[in-house]
Amino acid sequence: MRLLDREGFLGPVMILPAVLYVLALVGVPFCLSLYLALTDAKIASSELSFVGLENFRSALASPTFIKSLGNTFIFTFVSQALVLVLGKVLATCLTKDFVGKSVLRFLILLPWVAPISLGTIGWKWMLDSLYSPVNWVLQALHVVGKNTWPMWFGEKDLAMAAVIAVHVWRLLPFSAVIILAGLTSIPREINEAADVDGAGFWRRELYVVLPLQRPILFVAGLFGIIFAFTDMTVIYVLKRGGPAQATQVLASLAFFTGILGGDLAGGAAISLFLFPVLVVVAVAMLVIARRTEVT
Amino acid sequence: MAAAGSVRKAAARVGLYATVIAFAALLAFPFYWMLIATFKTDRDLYNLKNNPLIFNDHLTLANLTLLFTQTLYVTWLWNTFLVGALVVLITLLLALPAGYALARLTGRWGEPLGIGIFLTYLVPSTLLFIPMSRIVAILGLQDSLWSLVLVYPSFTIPFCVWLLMGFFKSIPKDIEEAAMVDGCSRARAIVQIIMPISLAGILSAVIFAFTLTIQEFTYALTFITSSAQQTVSVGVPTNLVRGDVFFWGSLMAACLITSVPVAILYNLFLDRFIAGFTVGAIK
Amino acid sequence: MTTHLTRRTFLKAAGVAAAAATGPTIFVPTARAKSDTLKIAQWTHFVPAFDEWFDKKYVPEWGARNGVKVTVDHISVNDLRARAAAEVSAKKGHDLFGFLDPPPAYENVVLPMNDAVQECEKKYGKLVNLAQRATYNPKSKQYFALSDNWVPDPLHYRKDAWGEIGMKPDTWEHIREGSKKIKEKNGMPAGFGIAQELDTNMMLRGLLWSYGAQEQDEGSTRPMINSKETVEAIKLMTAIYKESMTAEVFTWDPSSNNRFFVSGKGHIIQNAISAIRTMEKQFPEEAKKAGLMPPAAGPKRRMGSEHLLHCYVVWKFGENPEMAKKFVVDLIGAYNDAFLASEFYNFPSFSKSVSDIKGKLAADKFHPEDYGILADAEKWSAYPGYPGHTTAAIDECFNTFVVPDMFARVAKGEMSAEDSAKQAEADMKRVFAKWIK
Repeated sequence: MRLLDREGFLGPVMILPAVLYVLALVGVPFCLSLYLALTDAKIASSELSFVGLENFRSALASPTFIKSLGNTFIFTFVSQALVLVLGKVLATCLTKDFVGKSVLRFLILLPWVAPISLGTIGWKWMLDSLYSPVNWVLQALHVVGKNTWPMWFGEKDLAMAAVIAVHVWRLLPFSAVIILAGLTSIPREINEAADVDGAGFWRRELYVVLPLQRPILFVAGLFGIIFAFTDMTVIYVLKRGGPAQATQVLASLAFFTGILGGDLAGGAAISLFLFPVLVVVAVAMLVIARRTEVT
Repeated sequence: MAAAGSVRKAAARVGLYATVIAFAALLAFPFYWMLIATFKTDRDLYNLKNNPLIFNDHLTLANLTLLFTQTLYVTWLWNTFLVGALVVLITLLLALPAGYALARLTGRWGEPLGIGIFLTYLVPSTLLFIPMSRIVAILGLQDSLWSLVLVYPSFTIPFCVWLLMGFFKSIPKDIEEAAMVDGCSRARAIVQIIMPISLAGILSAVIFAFTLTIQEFTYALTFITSSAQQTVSVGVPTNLVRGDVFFWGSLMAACLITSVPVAILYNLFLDRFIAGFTVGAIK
Repeated sequence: MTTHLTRRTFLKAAGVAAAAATGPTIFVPTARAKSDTLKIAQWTHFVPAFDEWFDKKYVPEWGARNGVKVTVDHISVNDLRARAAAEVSAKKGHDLFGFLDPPPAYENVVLPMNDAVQECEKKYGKLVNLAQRATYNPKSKQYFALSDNWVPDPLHYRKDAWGEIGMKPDTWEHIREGSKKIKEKNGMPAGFGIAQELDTNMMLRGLLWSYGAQEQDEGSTRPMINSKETVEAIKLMTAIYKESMTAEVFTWDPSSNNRFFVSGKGHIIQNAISAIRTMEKQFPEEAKKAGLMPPAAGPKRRMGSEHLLHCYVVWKFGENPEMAKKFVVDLIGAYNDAFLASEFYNFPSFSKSVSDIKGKLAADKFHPEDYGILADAEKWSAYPGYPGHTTAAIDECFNTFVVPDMFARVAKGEMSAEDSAKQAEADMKRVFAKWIK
């Protein structure tokens, strides 16, 4: 048997290049970030001294940090749940044939391909306090009155709803595409067999389609969660964490503290605060995803 | 019975259309406004009494003229495309074998390696760009598109590896095992049998990697400063958001013009990989 | 935008490179070899014509005179700090980096500018006080940046609306009273942002100082935000909000109050002159009804903040420090042109670098009288950290929006003015503890 046909050897050979590439680029910076979080590094300081967990203690003592921690969870889980559920609905619809499908699908895809920095600037206007076309439409539909326009970034809950909505708007098409692609790789015979058995739509969904899609849903969900945890583009561009920190999340707070405020170590501690939790959750989910075998 | 069935079918049709149209309207609404804003005069845009969704003044090409003649928009588009294409290439070369190995060849090393790749993803890019810019400087790649080509795969690879693993897994093992029993090597089975079947998954990995390169902002901002080397996501806001004055028409035109061709392309991809499926699914 | 040099200088540069390549027998000092280019990074100016003048006229001409190839890269306001952080980490970047607010946290990695400041003071008069306090570290006795210009932050008001009620927004009490009357009369709201953004940060600091409150002591060692003057100022802003503003002021970013004023919706904002300039271009008829006033006076004094303070730093790791310094010094010498090219946006940091400011302001096509009030701008403008210095701790408080949050909590009714001032002090103490050892 040739060497490459031996599976114990072939596996690592196929994985290794990807691992090396990523580790070479991210590994070192990552360790440095960890190290920074344990020192008193400022943005331009020449010497560092080790301060242990002091930065984490200082962060925990700040009400802003506690607020951001809560916001991070709300933002992440609400937006991710919406993305997955709506994505599944959308994907299921897109497997059907209907008139004008191509045009509608094109429209649905747009948010995901728009450069996010520009798309979000567009949303700034869409939700502007004076010019908001969204509010204008709501007024035309008599949902809101002329002088009671919702101030999307003025109220705590509205602001959170707005950043979640924009985040969902941006990710929904992609999650629908992934789920759709997952659906297409379900062998046709399985669907046909279910049809022959007379299984209805919901039964087929629950007992045939969902289990088969589990590996993909798992990965899509996990990555979505991590994305929401670590990405701050939408929040930063839309409202910079305002009003009064109501939409501040850990990623954006870390940026304000570390880069704009110059307290590099403090910023690193904030951004890595959830790292231990995320590692445990991620490893657990990945192991499950890996072991989910197609039966 | 047949009548009840057809009523239910008709209701399902109506429900389907209602759902899809609602989704399309909500998702594409901002783009409709962008289209209008592209051709609106400033007077029209800023007049509070005007209906924001139609033209209340004559149409203008001024916003497009500004975008195409006063900025390097065309260069930025080209740069974005170039970086995207190269990143996709690197990503596929590395992620395809890794994804397959994770799905099928579960050696002792496979699992920890796969999870190792993923963990790098948990580091927020908020701060990662600081040490990363040091690496770029050491390699002498500052202010060069190559810095982006080098760095972007670091976040496209992990996702694509796991995404592809998911797809490879949903392909029953019997397919390549049958081929291998017939005397085909594992490597040949992968190239000749598995790859064609997983086209949908591969295309979504391509879409994913390409789109992320269009969207990425922080690295593009911090590694590159000269206008001629910038990508769309940085070049456009840098030149069209001036302090507290936004050039709305041109900004929105840039967003629209960048998005539409890519969306058309993806739509074609989707057709390609859904075609085989729908024929069987719809009775 | 890259600015290419003349053919002659290019050939000269090529000659040096060729000499270097021929081998060790020919002595080429490294300093000389490095000095063929000068790389500048600065913001995308709000007035496109200013960048046009800078990139296409001033810089190429200066480069030709000095035999240097100069490139200018523009960075958007919001991204300057991130880019600077990356350059410092990479120990590579531009020879000259322009900040829009003084960056004290970077003192360790920049060259002291004391010599350049001295030279400029000799040639172009004294460095204005606010720029001096904001770019000088009294502990190390170093100028960590060299400011070429700063931007005043006057009140913009509607002359028609204020004329109808026969008042002028001269003091904060007048603003409160007048805004209430205008709101009752024709429904127009006032527009003072209470959000996490630059304009709010500046305007509210002015309000605090006018009431005699201050962020820190004169020695820049401890926060002093929790005072009865602060509480009074918060209460006044809360009253203005409740009587004459809408919740939109919590939603704003730096461009919002411009739109609010330019569209004719509101009757008063405090902003750099970009708002009134935009109005002149978009709605010339309406713009006639708009005017400028100095910041409002409080019980203690009349004081506003600078809107932006532009200053250049030279990285220690930069490749062409001497040329970089010379560039700024020469630029300050050319401020007559810069002042006009920026449409009065850039005010000179060295008082005599622009001659006859009054006359220039009075020659404006649209609002000669209104721009005229800017002639005294230096007298009523301070800087974050006043009356102390702009330190790294103040800088972090500024960038994490301690002051706007303090006002917002009260205006939204979440906290009493007293408690909010107390919390702001606690926030500031935490930051001060990190920076001051």
